[in-house]
Formats: sequence, C-alpha cells, structure tokens
Amino acid sequence: MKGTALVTGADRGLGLAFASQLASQGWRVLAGQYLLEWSELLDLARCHPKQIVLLPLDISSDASVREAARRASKEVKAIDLVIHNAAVSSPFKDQEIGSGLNYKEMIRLYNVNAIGLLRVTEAFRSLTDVGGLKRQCIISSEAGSIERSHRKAWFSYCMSKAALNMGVARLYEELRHEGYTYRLFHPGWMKTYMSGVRNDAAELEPHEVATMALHYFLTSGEADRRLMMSDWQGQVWPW
Amino acid sequence: MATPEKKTIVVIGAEHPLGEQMCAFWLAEGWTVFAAAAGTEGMEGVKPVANTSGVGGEALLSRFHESTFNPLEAASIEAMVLDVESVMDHVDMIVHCALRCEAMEPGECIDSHQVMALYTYNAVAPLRITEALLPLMEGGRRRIGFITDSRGGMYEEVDGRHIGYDMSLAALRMGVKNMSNALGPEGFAIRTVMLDMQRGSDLEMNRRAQLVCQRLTEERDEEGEV
Repeated sequence: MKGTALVTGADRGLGLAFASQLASQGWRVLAGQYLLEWSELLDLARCHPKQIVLLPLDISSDASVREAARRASKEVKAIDLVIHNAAVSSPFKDQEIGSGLNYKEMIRLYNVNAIGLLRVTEAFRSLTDVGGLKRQCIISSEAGSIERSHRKAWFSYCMSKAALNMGVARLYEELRHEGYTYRLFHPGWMKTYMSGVRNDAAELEPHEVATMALHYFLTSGEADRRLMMSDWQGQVWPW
Repeated sequence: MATPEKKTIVVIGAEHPLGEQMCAFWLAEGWTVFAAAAGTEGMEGVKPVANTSGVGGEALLSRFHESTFNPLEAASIEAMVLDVESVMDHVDMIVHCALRCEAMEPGECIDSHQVMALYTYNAVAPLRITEALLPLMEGGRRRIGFITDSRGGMYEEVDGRHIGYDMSLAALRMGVKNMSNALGPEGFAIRTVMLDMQRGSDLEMNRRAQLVCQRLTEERDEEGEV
C-alpha cells in the first residue's frame, strides 16, 4: 500500500477522479462522501473494497467533520495525503453589486469553501501529524487571485477563494515547521458539478486534471520550498 | 450632479477613534457628515464629534448627523439609509472604517463561528452597506473608501492566531476589487487605504486621520498605506 489519502468531496467530478486514480495507484483512500445517494462513488468503492473507505463528510458542519475524523481514526492509524477538494459555486454568481447581491449565498459559500479547509485540517490533525508524507493539497481557483481579479460579479465565490488562499498561507506558515508541505492548485475550467449540474460546456475532463494534479501533488519541487498557487499547466498565479 | 459647495459623506464606523477624527476633518473641510456608528448590542453611539473637534459652532453642527446601526442586520442597514436620505439628497462619498479583529488564544482550536463572524462583519457588511447606499450616490461624486489593515500579506511571518481576521481581510479585498471592476466604468472611484492597525502608528490620531482623508480624496486609483 502506497499510503493513506483523505479526499473531500469525492462523490463526483474531480474528487471522484482523485479517489479512483489514487486507489488504482495502490493508495488507501478515505473518500469524503457528501451525497450519500450518488452512485458513482458507491460503484467505485465496490470496485476497490479493500482500498476505498466511504466517509460521510459535510465540510460545512463542525459535527460532521468531527464525526468523520472519529470514524477515520477507527479505520487508519495515519493519513499521509489530504486533498481538500470539496467546494461549491452559486447559482446567483452573475449578480452584480446594485442588483441585490445574495448575502446568504456569500455566507454559505464561505462556510464551505473557506472554513471547510480549517475544519478538516484541525479535525484530522491527530492522523495527519503521524503521517509519513504530511502533504496538504488544496483545490483553489484563479477566481481567488486578487491581483488578477477581472470579474464584476461572482462575489461569493471569489471572496471565498481569496479567503481560502489566505487561510492556506496562515496554515502553511504554522504547519511547515512541523514538517507539513503544501500544494495549492487551480484546476482550470472543468466539466464538473460545481453549480449542481454537470457543466459540459467546460474545457477539461476531471480525470485529465486529476492526473496532472496528482503528479504535482506527489512529486518534489519548488512547492516544497515556498507556497504558491499553480495551475494544471504548471503556471504560477499571483495572490 | 452635486454642487461643489455641498459635499456629503457617510462614515461607517464613526465610533472608532480614526472614524471620529475623520468626521472632524471633513466637517472642518466643509463637508456634511453622516456619522454611522456600527454599533451592536451593548455599544454606545458616537460622541458629538463637532463638539470635540475644537471648531464648534451652530453652522458646523448643522452639517453633522449621526446614528447607530447594526451592520449585520438588513433591516438596521435599511433604517440607517433612510436616516441618511432624510438629511442628504445625495451622497458623494462613503468611507468604511469599521473592522473587527479577534485572535485565538495560544493553543486554542480554530472556532468556525468566530471565523464566520469576522467574515460577515469585515467583508460582507461593507458590501451590503455600500450596495444599500448606492442609489443615493447616483447624483454625487461617486467615491467609496475602505480603510483596511495592512497585515494580510501572504508571505508575512505572522502567527496563525489571527487566521479568521486575515481571511476576512482577504475576502474584503477581493470584494472591493470585484466592486471596483463593476463600478469603475460607471464613474466610481474606489479607494483602499491600508493601516498598520496591529502595530499602531507613531502619528497622532488626528494627523493619521488627515492623511487618510487626503488619500481618499486623491485622484489616482491605487491602494495606499498610511
């Protein structure tokens, strides 16, 4: 067995692709399951019964994350790799200021996309602290790059991703002294279910991005020496 | 359009020492000032700034208005806007200087409620208040200023105890950027002034306020640190 990985939001899209490819590579995968009825992850787990452990996990909930960590500790002794993949978008993202921004959405997205990372990091510390690799991988977005911000709308999503990047920076500063390394990744525009339905107009297939991402996550490089946001093409994005 | 001789400003966070001094500065400069104290339960309203400015006078007081509101409640924001509307037929400038900073104790676990509270206060509320006041800005000079904290560099070697605060600052900066992208082409000038709020300043508060006010009314469209 290669090691143990935790993937949040493994139900479908990029998260499912991560779980699938890691299992195929010999990893034990704790697959964070938010959509309990979604069949793709259930089917994948049936194909890899010894390697994939389904872990009910709603990263927007303190209680759910704590329970998931408790269950995980009964399955594994350590976690080597965490992929913070779970995130949401908003159906109201195209609203501009002055048209009546949806402030409940701003709070909902922040709770998932920004605070979710903090919850999972903290709750699983007892397992990641004793992991061999101590690698934290975060799926972020160019939408969180303040310097390159060009949008007139997308307030909820952009603000949540900018805050996510800052959260990662602070965690990195604290945890690198304990041997943790980080990979912050912008996956590009993928055919996933971020908005609730599969976006077939997008450019990239999740399994293609997962391959590129896992290569980046699991190899040594400049990211071991400094925190940066890289994309699927290896380009570095400014904060 | 606003007439040059009648300039109007709404200061959000007037209860802070900096906000108070900025109100005094603009009053002295001839502006009509609406001092909105971002009070929540247990907070008092803003002091009568005109009386503490050292300038005084009935003419000054006639250009000064104040109210207390809760920036976390839609109804309270609406009521504040109605108060503004009752004393000003337009708003030339809004300035936000109400930031809440909380830190974790050493060794304390991250409190998701605290992180969310900081976000809603520091990042969401300024957008909400600005949006509510936008209709009053149509006939004015269209200036919006944000006083924020210069801590928040991504590579700063700071302890993680302010992680929630730092995340809220990043969210605010992004929100302001998107707002600027939308409102800039419509003639709005959005200014951000960063202050070192944690380490304080050698400048006296009134001098600091003066520099901030001057920066906010400058013509170039950049962030700046005072």
